[in-house]
Amino acid sequence: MEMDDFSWDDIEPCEISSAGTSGVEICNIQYSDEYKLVMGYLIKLMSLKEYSERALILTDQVIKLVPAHYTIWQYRFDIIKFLKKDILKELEWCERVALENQKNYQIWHYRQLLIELYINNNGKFKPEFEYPLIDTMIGEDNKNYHVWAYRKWLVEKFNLYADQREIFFINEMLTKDIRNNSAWNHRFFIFFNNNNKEITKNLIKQEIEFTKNAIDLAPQNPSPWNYLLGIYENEKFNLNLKDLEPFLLKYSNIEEELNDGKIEPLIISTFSLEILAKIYQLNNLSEKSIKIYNLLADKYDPIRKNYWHYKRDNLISI
Amino acid sequence: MAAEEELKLAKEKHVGYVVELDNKRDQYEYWLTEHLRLNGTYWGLMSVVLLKTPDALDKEGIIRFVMECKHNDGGFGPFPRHDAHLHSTLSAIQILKILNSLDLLTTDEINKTVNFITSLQLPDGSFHGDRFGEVDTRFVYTAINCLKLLDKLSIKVIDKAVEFISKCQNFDGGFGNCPGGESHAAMIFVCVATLAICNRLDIIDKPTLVQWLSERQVTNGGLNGRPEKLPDVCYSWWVLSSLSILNEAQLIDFEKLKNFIYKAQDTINGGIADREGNEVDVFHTYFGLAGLSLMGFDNLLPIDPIYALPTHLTTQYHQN
Repeated sequence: MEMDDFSWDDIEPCEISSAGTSGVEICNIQYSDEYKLVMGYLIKLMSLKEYSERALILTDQVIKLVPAHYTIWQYRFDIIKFLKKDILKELEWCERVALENQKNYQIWHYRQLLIELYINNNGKFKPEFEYPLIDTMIGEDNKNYHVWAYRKWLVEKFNLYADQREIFFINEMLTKDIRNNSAWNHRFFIFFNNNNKEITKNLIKQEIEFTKNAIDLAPQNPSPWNYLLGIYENEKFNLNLKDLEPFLLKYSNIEEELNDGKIEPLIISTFSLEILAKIYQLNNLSEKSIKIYNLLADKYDPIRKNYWHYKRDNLISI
Repeated sequence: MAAEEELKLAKEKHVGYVVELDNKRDQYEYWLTEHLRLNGTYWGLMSVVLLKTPDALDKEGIIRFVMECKHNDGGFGPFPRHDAHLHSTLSAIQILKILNSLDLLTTDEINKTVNFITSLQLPDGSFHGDRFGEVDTRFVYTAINCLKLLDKLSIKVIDKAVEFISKCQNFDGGFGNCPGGESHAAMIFVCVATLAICNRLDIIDKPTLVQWLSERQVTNGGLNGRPEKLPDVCYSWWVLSSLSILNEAQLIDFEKLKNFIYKAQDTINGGIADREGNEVDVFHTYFGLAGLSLMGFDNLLPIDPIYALPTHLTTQYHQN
C-alpha cells in the first residue's frame, strides 16, 4: 500500500524545518521535498497519537529514508501493537528493511521486541526462524557486532547453549574464518557461559584440543590464544598453565638463543612466547622471562616495546 | 606522501572544518544523521575547545539548540522532535557544562532530568537507552556520568550499576555491551570509566585487560578495537582513555600513534578520518584530537579520560 491509497484531507502536516518549535534558524539545512512531505504528516500523526494503517505506511516510508530515526521505530511498534498486526508478517517486513540497508542496527532490538510480544501473545516462537536473516547479515559482515549480540540474545532467550545447530553454526563460521574474534567469543559463550549446565571435563578437553588445532593453522592468530588462556586461567576448571609448556615450545623455542645465540630460535608466535614467559616466571626462572621480554621488545613485537619493558621491569623489581 | 618528520597537526584547518559543518550543503547526509545531531554538536564543540579556539562556534546558538532538544520529562533528544535518549542527554549536560551554562536549568528541571535517567535503570543495574528499551553498557556510562555532573549520583544507583558492569567482564579481560558480549574497546572504555566514577576499579582484572588493550596497537602505529580488525582513529580515544584511567597509557607507542592520526587528516579542507585516505567526519576529528590531547601533543587543552571533558572542569571529581 502507498500514501495515495489513503485520504489525507483531514490533517494539516507539520512544517519541517531545522528549527524545531522556536522558529529560529539554528542549523541552515535544506530538506528534500519527499522527506518534508512524509515527515510532516508523520510528525502530525505522532502528535495526535494516531495508530492507524496510514500511519503505518508512513513509518515504512520514513524508516526507508532515515533508518536510524529510532523515534519512528518506537511509533511503528506502538501502531503494530494497537492494530494487533500479524507479528510474523511484521518480522518479514523488518527482514526486508534489514536486507535493504545493511548498516541499520535498529532492526535487531526491534526484532527482540516483536519476538517478546509474540511469545507474550502466542506462547512459543521458533528461534530457527531467525537463522536465515542472521546468516545473510553475517555473510555480509562476519564481524558485525550487533548481529553477533543478537545471536547471543537468541541463545540466552531460547536456552541454546551447546545446542547442536549452534555448534554446527559456530564450527562453520570458524572454518570460513579462523581469525574471526566475534566467532571465538560466541563459541566461548555457548560452551562456557554460567548458564550452560553441561560443562564437563570432556567438554573442556575437547575445546582445548579444538583451540590447539586452530593455533596450529595460524599460530599468530590472537583469538584462539585468548580462548586457551580463558580456559586455563578459569579457576573453576582447575587446570595448570604450566602444562602448556610442551605445546608452546612448538611455536617459540628460545633455548638455542639462550645457550649460544648462534642458532636462530624458532619463534613463530609472539603469543606463545608471552605465555612461556609467564610459565618461566611461575617456575622461578625469571631470567628466562626477562630474556623473552627483551626479545619481544627488540625483535619480535617492537611496536609493543613499552609493554614488554613494563613486563620486564616488573620482574626485575621483584 | 609526506615524510613522518613533516607531519603536523593542521589546527586552523580543523577549526575551519568544524565551523563549516552547519553550512554543509549535502542535505540527505545531514538529516540521515539527525539522530546524532546533539552528539555531533558535542564532538564539534569539544574539537574547537581542545584546539583552544572555543569562541569559533556560536555558543548562544548551541545553547538554544540544546534547549530545543529538551523534553518535558527532563530527557534530551538528539534533535527537536526526536525522543529523549540517555546518549543525547549526556551530550546536552556536557555541552552546558563546557559552556558554563548548567545554571540555565532550574532545580526543578534538573530533578526531572535526574528522574528521567534513574527511571531507565533496570533491577539488574543496567540501563535502557530510552523507552524503546535497548540495553547496553554504553547507556550505563552515559547515565552515571550525567548524574555525576549533576551532582546527583546515589549509592543505590552506583551499587547496582557496578554489579551489572562486573557481569560484562569477559574471559579475555575485556568488557562487552552486555554479559557475554564480545570485548570491544568502546565498551571497555564505558565500563572502565563508569567504574572509575563509582570508585570501583578494583573489580577489574587489570593485568589481563592491560594486556588486551596494549595488543590493540598494530604495526603501523594505529589502534584497533578488537583483534584482527583494522586500526581506526577513534580508538585513539577508546583505548587510550581506558589505559589512562588505569594509569598505563604509556604502554602505547605515542609517536607511532601520533603519526597514524596525523596521516588521517585532510590538511587541505580540515577534519580527520578513520584512517589515511578516507573521508573525514566530525566524530573522528574529535576522537583524533582527544587522543592527541591524552598523549600531550600539540599543546591541546588537556582532556579528562573519565568524563571526556576538559580537565579544568573535572578537578572537583578527583579530590580524594
